[in-house]
Amino acid sequence: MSSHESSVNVTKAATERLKNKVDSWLKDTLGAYSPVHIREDKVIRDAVFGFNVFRQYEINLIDSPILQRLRSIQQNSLASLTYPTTTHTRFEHSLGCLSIADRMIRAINEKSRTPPITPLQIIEVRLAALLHDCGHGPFSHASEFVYDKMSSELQDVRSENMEVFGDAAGHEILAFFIVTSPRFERLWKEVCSKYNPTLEEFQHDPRDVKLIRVGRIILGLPSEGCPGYLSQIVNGPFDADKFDYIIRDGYFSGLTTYVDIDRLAVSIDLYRDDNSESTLCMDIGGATILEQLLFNKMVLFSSMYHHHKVRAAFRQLALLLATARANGTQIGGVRLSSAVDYLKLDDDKLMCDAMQQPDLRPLASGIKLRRLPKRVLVIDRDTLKDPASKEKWVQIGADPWKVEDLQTAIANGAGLPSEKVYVDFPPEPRIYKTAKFSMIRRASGRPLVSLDSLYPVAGWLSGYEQYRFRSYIFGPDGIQEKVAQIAEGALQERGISIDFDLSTRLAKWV
Amino acid sequence: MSVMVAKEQRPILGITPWQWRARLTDAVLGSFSLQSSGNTLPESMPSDKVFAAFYKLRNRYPEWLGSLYFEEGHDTLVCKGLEDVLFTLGAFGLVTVKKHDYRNLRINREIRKIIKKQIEERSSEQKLKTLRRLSNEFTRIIGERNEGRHRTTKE
Repeated sequence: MSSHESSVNVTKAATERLKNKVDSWLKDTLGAYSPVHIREDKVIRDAVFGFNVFRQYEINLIDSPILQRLRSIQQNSLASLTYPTTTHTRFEHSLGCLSIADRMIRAINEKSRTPPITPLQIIEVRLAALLHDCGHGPFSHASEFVYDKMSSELQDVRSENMEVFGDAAGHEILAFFIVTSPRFERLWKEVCSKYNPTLEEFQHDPRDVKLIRVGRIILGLPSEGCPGYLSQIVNGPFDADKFDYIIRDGYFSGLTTYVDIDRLAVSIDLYRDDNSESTLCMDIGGATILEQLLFNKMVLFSSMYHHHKVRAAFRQLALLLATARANGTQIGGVRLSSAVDYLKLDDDKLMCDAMQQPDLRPLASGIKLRRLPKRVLVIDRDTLKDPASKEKWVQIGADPWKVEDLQTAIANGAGLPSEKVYVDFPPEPRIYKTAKFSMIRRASGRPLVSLDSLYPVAGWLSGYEQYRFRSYIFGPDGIQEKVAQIAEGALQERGISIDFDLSTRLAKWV
Repeated sequence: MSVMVAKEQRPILGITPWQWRARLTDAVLGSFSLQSSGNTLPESMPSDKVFAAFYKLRNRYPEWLGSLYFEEGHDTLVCKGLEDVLFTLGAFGLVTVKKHDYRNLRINREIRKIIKKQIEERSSEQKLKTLRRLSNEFTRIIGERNEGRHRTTKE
């Protein structure tokens, strides 16, 4: 076993606990599922990328409960309450990610007389693309916020295995443990047993697949037999995941975004350095696609991901989950004590069952009927009066107890239950990795250069940071003025002065 | 491109990512403002240098910087945790960039004084002692010549 692979065979307590829980969940989820022989490869039509071919054994996985549950998990959580057509799910995204990964692989192989990516590697990269989101819980990042950010369970797993999990997202860690679990291995063997790999249509025997390599591709890590550039096709500076979600989210939200995806096949390539190590790169023409990708990412943040109504719905849903967790309330017979418990739920099950629970019903019905909290105050760099206030506000945003304390103070002051007031700091967009690590072949015979050395793409991030980013205090409809005044007082007690007039006008209830 | 994590780092368990974020914010603000030798930290610093400095300091201050994870590629470092904190400081005007040139971070002396005062007011002596040491080391590393372009040789 290589040094790469040995690093995941950990015997750390938190890691072992999580591995066992995931395997146990998978046993229950797969239940009696038994893969059947699929006669031939299947073609699936996608609204965004057209016809895509899926191999027989991939269809077995697509038909399994592991991927079917993603049909009931919306890609953009509750963004559909603001952009009604944004109803696409993690399922379509997973298929789309495979489709883009396949385009990238084909383009790389067609550029060389000896195709660098072997048939076995192709199977593994395609599987990783297909399964990369199988660790998502209900409403995607909304549940991840609760089971990851507010608990140490997954952070402990990261800390025990920094070289493997580093700062992998919670759902990526769960996907890794699903794909590398004993129960998944058994499923994969059952799937492979349905086919005769000596047939010509099988360019390589799928039984040779190493699931540990598939798991590591999901994390963006290299393995023995799987160089780094292959992992980067699924999880890297510019990867199939980003191409699919940015294009798909733009398409289904109706926001006018454009990424010239056809150019990808022409421009993607491998660069071999003096040590014969290969790096995924773009030719100079392909730099434009990456610029489009990042620009559109910022458009999506500005218009959708950070839309105040999307954020209000997100906060309400996160509170619902946190309340269930704190009260020990069961949802669908599940007590939400571990990240793995969220895998037992999907969007529909969560909302239906939350409606049956007295402590969750008000929050759940608010979401179902779109009775969401309103902006009471908008707080940005212009509404905070002085540097001392800015620093204190940043400190509140960084500390969950300070956020809760402020929410409670405002709610108490207004005579409201504490769940009626939210202080929201939206998550930061990130583009440094794509900007700095995307490599461009500027001229033949010259070293690669980073995307940001050709064009300062991360300037879009600093522009957003400076002119668009806002935090919010949300409260109930109809009493915004009263809550705003109490909130201003609560902020003053904490040494924070705001331009009240500007803050309320930005909140648009004046 | 490889993933780089110093081997000697010991895991610190039982802390949520959000709590790590609070510690990191304190550590970054402290590094920018708590130098005991006066304002020797330049107002404007290349962001690559800032990332490289925190990479160097990470193992010496695990209780503050232990959640940071760095990825290395082609002479530079990327770290999501630091990127997030610097974004927030920028969003609320504590750190600025000139003409959107994110490659240079600027934190002016007046703001630094205010931050220093606030951290001193709310922190215990023990905490202040550690943050001041961190700040001094940060200042020294930023002042070193040729720092910033990250070398691929591991420490």
